[in-house]
Amino acid sequence: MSSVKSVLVVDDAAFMRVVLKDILKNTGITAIFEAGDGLEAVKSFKDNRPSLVTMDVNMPKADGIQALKAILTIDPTAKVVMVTAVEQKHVVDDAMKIGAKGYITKPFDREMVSSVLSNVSRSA
Amino acid sequence: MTMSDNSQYRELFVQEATEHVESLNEYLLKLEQEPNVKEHIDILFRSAHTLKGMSATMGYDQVKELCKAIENEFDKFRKDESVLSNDMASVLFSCVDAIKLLITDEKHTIDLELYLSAIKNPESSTLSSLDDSASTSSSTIRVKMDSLDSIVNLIGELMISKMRLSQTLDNMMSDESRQVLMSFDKIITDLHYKMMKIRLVPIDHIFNRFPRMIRDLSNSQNKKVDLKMDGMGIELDRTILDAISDPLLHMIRNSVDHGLETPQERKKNKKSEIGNLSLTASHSGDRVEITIQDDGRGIDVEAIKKKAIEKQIITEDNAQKMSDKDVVGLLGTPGLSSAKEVTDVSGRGVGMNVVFSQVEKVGGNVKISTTKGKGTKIILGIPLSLAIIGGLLVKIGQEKFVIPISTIVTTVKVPPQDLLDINGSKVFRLNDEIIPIVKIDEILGIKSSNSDDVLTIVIVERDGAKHGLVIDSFDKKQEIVIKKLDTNLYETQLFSDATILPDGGVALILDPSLLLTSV
Repeated sequence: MSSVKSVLVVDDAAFMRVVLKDILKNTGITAIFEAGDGLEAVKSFKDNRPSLVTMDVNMPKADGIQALKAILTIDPTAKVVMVTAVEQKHVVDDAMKIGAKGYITKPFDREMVSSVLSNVSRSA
Repeated sequence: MTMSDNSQYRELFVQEATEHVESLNEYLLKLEQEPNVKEHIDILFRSAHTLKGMSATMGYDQVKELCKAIENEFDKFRKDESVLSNDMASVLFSCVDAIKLLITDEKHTIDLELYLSAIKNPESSTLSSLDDSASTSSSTIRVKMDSLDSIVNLIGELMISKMRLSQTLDNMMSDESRQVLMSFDKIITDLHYKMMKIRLVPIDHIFNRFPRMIRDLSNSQNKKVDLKMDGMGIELDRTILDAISDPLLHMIRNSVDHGLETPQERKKNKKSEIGNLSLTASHSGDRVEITIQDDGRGIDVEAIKKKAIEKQIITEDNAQKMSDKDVVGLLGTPGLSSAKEVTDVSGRGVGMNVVFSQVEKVGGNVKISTTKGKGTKIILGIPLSLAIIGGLLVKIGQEKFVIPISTIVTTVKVPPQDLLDINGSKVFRLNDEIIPIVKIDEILGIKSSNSDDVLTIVIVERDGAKHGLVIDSFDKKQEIVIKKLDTNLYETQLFSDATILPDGGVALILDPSLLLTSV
């Protein structure tokens, strides 16, 4: 995943952020930003311009879908990967239509996470 | 991810998951009262959802399944497909209890099917609510309190050493050493502050369990109770919080058990059917006051009197003269009665003396006022932190004493012509208040060396009344480290604490609450 320089991890649960961060670190990504809700996510995206965003869906303030839309307005080429529970298929479909580049499901599988991220980062 | 590599995340998981459990409890209660507020449902849904994801990641399947099931219910509320019924609320509370148990004890398992079927058919649920008193605290401090205590003691010693150092160097200090000493001073103060901060826990930790406890308690007694809580976010030293946790629980339980009446009884007495119970925490100087107030039947003062005479704690003569306030104060006397007897007669007092002694052990006090038929109000006054307080160093004759800043209103100089004589006692006027003068030198039997006619007076407040303590002179305000006196060594009840002064001498701490009872 050489083209992924930095990742913004968005999740309202600090626990989930830590777990995902550790997985990312193991794949060699060290520049990791965090946000705990949709509004923070958009702000951090503006400030840090990460090469990839992982976006939780259910969050306070602005949810993942709202944040996704806002980020794509700021940068239409932004690479956002949705983080969802297994049964939230419809949410994933919505997000992909809006412009998310991929999705990973909870609980995380290390291999799945790396393969999704590398696929997304390779895509134009 | 597999189970095996998750142990490193457990602490964070438990901490965050516990917060969600608390939020589930809190908002479930709110939703029960306001079933149409969409925000409550949203928060509940999100907490359940987040908790589900977290526990799936940890590999805790039972928590995951249970969260999934309740999330599903919240989703139905969200979509207006169903409304929270009383039965359903009870089932959901039981589920939250189970989730809490599963979170805190990794090895715990539950009969998942039982819960899932209860959610499907809440009317025929066989789940019983768990005893909340068994709940564990969600402390984020993972250090033994003993270790923290010993560090606090060391910081105290450090303060004393620094004060002695600056005293001995006082006259021969270069500017440079003065500067070093100042930064030394600042570091110690910071250290102390940070240390105290570490030990602080928001009072929510104990308050949070009360709504649930009261819901269960009032349900089981067919009473209606409206609990109001205020002062969340106020922080207290962990040791103090632990010490008052049981007494608080006890008093609240008492209020529901014995204070508040059944709706029928209340109606008969022209009260609202719903009993009011309020629990308030507020700052008052460097103390925190926790007030528990109910509008129940009050404490039966006559019953306490009778019992106290029976137990030969007071004589019949005494009883005649005692005010209601004094009689209620007897509840703090050990041996007034065994718990059960008092419960039966006075409707209150189950181990009240234990409550008193536990609160007093951490430097707090208990004030009770009650009106028959109207209700009871109990105020716990508790210090913010242990061991180090702000004090004013005062001199009387050759003796030095420290008066806790928290008790001081102000200091004044009073010329002799401003002294008044009322019924043989000396008073003076401050603004519009008449303040009695207390001659400490006479109480303590020491000789004042004040030759000046103008009196130097420290005004202190106790139980809302101001008193003017006459002293010879006062020094500056300083932080002092409290050293407990060995009570056996002192016959007098006037002092319980002392401190070590910068010059290495010892000063007794003049606590107005002890001093003024002897006036």
